Amino acid sequence: MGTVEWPLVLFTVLGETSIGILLALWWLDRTPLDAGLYRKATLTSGALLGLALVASLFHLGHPEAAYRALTHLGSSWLSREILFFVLAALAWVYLFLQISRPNGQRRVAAGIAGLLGLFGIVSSAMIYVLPRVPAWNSAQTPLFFLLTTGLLGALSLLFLGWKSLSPAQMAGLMYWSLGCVLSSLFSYILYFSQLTGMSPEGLATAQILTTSPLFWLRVITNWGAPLILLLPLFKRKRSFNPNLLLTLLVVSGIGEFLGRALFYLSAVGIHISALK
Amino acid sequence: MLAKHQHICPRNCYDTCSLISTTYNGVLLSVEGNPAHDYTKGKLCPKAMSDIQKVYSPSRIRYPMRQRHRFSGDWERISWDEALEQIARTILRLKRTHGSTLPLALNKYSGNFGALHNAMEALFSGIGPTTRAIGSPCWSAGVDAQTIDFGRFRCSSPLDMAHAKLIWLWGVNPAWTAIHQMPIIFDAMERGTTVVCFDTHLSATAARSHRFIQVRPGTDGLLALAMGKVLAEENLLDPDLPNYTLGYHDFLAYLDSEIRVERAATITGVEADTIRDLAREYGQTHPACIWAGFGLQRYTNGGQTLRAIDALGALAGHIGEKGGGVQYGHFETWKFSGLGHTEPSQAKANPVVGKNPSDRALNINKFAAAALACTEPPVRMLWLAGRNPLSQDADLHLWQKLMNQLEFIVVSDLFLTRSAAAADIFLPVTTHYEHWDLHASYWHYWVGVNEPAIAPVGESKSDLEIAWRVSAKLNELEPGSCTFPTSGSEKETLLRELSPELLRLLRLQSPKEILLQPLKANLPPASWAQRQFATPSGRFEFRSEKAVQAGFPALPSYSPPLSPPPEAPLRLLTPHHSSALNSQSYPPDTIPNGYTLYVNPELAESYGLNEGAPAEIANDLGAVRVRLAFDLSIPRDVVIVYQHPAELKDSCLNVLLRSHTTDMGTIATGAPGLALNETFVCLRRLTGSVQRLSPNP
Amino acid sequence: MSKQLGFLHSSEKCVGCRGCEMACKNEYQTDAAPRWRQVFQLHEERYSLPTRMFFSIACNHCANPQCLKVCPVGAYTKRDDGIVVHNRDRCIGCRLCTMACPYDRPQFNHAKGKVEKCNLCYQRLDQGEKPACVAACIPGALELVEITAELDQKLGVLKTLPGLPTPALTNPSIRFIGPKQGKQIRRD
Repeated sequence: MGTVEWPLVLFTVLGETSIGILLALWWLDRTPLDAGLYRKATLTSGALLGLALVASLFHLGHPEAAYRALTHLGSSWLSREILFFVLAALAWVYLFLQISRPNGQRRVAAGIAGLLGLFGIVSSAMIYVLPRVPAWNSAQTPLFFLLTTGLLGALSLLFLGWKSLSPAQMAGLMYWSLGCVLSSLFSYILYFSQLTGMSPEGLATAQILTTSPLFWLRVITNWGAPLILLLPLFKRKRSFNPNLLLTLLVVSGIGEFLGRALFYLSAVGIHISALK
Repeated sequence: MLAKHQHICPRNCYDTCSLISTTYNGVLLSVEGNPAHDYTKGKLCPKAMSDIQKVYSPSRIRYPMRQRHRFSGDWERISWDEALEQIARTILRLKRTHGSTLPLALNKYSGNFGALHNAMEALFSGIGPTTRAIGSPCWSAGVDAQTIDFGRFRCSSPLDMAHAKLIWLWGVNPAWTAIHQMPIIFDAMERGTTVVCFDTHLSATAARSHRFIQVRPGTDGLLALAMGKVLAEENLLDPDLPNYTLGYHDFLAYLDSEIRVERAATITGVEADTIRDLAREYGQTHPACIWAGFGLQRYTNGGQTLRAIDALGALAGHIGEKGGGVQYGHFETWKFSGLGHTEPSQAKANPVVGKNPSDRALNINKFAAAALACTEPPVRMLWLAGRNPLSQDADLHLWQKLMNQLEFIVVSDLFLTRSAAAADIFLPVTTHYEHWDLHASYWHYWVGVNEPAIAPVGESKSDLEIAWRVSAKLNELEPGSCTFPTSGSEKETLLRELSPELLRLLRLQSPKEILLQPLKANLPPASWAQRQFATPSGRFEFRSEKAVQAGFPALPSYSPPLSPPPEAPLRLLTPHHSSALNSQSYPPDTIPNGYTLYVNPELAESYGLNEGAPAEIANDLGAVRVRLAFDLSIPRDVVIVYQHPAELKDSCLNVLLRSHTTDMGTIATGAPGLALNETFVCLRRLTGSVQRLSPNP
Repeated sequence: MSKQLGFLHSSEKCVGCRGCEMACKNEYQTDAAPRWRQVFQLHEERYSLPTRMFFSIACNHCANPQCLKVCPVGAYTKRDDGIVVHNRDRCIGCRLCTMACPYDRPQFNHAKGKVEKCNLCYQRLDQGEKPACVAACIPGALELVEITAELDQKLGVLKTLPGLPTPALTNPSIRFIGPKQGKQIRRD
């Protein structure tokens, strides 16, 4: 508790991005979508998912026995998370097979993979909804995880498809991203006010956050910069600068990584407060 | 194969627990208490329970080693033969050069209190007249005081305290230093006994007592005298006093003329009304027991303090009472034969006195200064056994000087201690799980055998084995140069250590019976029950000729402790912590990182220091870095560091310690004790960062 | 579950010697770092006088064990007598239980890559012996008890002490006899 869990930060953020891409693909696929982009995005999503799963192993004391993590589905959200992510990975393989075929059921496959992944992400968030940790023990935790999924999925696809997406598709992704950033910002403000008014542990979390330079870097990269960078895009809808899109993705990605690192770092559990 | 063995914890500690170890195929698995013991009752303190980690600790030294330059850490492993050869040749060369064996010095004390560890003294006696550290760093003044008052130094069985209706724990913290007494005290409390704790600070024991009386350090004797005066004023004196005491009229006259309760209140910090209430309760409650701790007498007036407390007990008629008395310690069961080569230690309140009359005796508490002052002949070689003076002694600057001047230094120990860093030759010794031994306690009445449970770890050897081998090597190089045996059986030697008197006390027909289990000596549970004392007059002596002969006032009298000099206004007290005994820390390899100084928050505030702030305590001898911790119960003229060993790289607490000695000690232990509670320091703010300190020693 | 075993700790008798901690280490010869049992000193500002009071905490074998709930491998089981047993053979070292326990009692052993905790010496209990910590407590401050409604109705038996997490989180199977304060006559 209270340490940056790098394997977990990587696993959750990369996994959420991966699933976010799949969900964005599924959503955009209502209107014609370039096959090349589909392939590129699917492969990117798969690579991220693979990386995420590998990273998660580094958190374990005994990675070789990770398979056992599936054995307590009855009450453990961690078991459920692993189950859904494994199923999402299998669905991704199915998706990959579909896009390799001329008339593959790619939308159904992407939808299945995305949905399973979404269950995985919600399970992932539920792991941290612990009565012991006031800073985590609320609906905010799944909301944060879902907003990361939405934002990084959309921005990744925006960057990957800047050439081939239609203006309407681009606009859709942009509005979606903007919605995610604004939701993230406002829900965080709400979260923060709850923290400070909640409990000694919540207050301690708030103090850790406000005194950490990482937090202020996150404010800039996760909310400030994306808002500033998104505005010119709305003005010049026709000429997308790939560098601008890349910057937006990287900055937001940094912001999300910092946000997740701080999520772990600032967790203060209810604990024995006495002299040891 | 599983096997059980019996042991005795050999530490310099009230409880001297009986242990049982379990081994599997010659490897220690666990230790537990021996339920056959009616005081330790099968339970152990936390210190003993980390013994196994200690025995197999990676930091334990397993081979003899030679250091190329002192304090360099440049050690090389050598064989026992090389080590013994170098030691024996040096001894013989020094003897030839100086025409005397006095240049050879032995400084040994209570690292292991087992009787067979006296082999080191016996070895040196076998070589000839040598230079010896005598006396005790611990309890000398109190022992003398009780010897003067009662004629002998003995205490009731600790189980006898259960009968008391009133228990005064005076300057003693059994919760942390004699924990097996706590259930006895708690049981008494449950049966309605009142417990009052007198101390300089709120100890874990004081916090559990009905009343805690905080006394200004070094003024306990005056408090006792003032209460004695109240007893006299309020007709609470024992009407039998004329029948069994000597000089009580003189003593009452002294109290009448010299002691004023109000004045005592100002000096001791205990209000006059409180003094009167306490005295009345003590005078009216029978039986009432006082347990006087060792810390009380570690002042320049320590002997007088104990005499005053003894006198208070006598005035109220509590001496000889079942469940009463003034308990301090005893040596009644330490009747060992002295390995045939030292004067038997009967009646000597010191297991290691064992010297020959022709030895050159140096007070252990002023050893460095005294050894430096020796000229004809000078001290050239020093053997340290069961001692860590560079961590635990006073006058460390003189020790450093001595270590630099000596020609040859041998240290035998388990670990590379602060003192071992000065050695030329390091000899690895065995723990009490690896050798035979015989132990008595200075608090309870049990005597027991320590069996080896495992083979010596590495090439380590017992003190007895080392002594035999040194003697063998000496005789090989120069036949007849040492009269100590050159070989033998540890077990047989042990059996010979049971003197006829000890056999009688233990009701044994033959020494071998002791091998079966620890035994309780046949001593009366309450001491002085017949009120026949061992003094020259056969009475309890308020007025003592022996005291006069030793240069003290005939009557128990108050003399003030030292006052702090202006440049070091704070008195530093260093009580024992529950996890460590002097520099013997438990578990091994977990030495706290730095010292914590407990201070009154107001005092810290007056220095502009916050809790946790790095600071320094200093006096004219040195300075030690500390981290501040607040304690509301500590007065503003006192600061406290719970004693524990320090990492070798850090300066240790004792750089602040000067060898002020106690008033008494010479009569029974051979030399005055160490007045270590007369240490004064100033507190200084420290700028710059101090490394993070671990939470608790 | 037919009953719930637990600890009764008297802060009046506990002198903070840490014998229980060391007895546990002596029994299992555990590494230095994980402390299955730990003695804490109560914060003194919560009392009118300095207290020098301690409490000793191992796994509380909670009625509502969070560790058991979150563990993905089912390494935790609750026995019929209420003991929460951690099976180290199943543990994969995900450390989720260490995040979920408000008492920080399952602890991660970095050297072994697994979590460890007190199993209430169930193997000793099954042979009619006391847990090592209880057997070792010299002042008799630590007892093994059955947590019952009658126990909670006894005078002086407390469900928590200042400085401990609210029992509502896990319903721990530990009860306390709180510190009593004697009279302190202190000088300035």
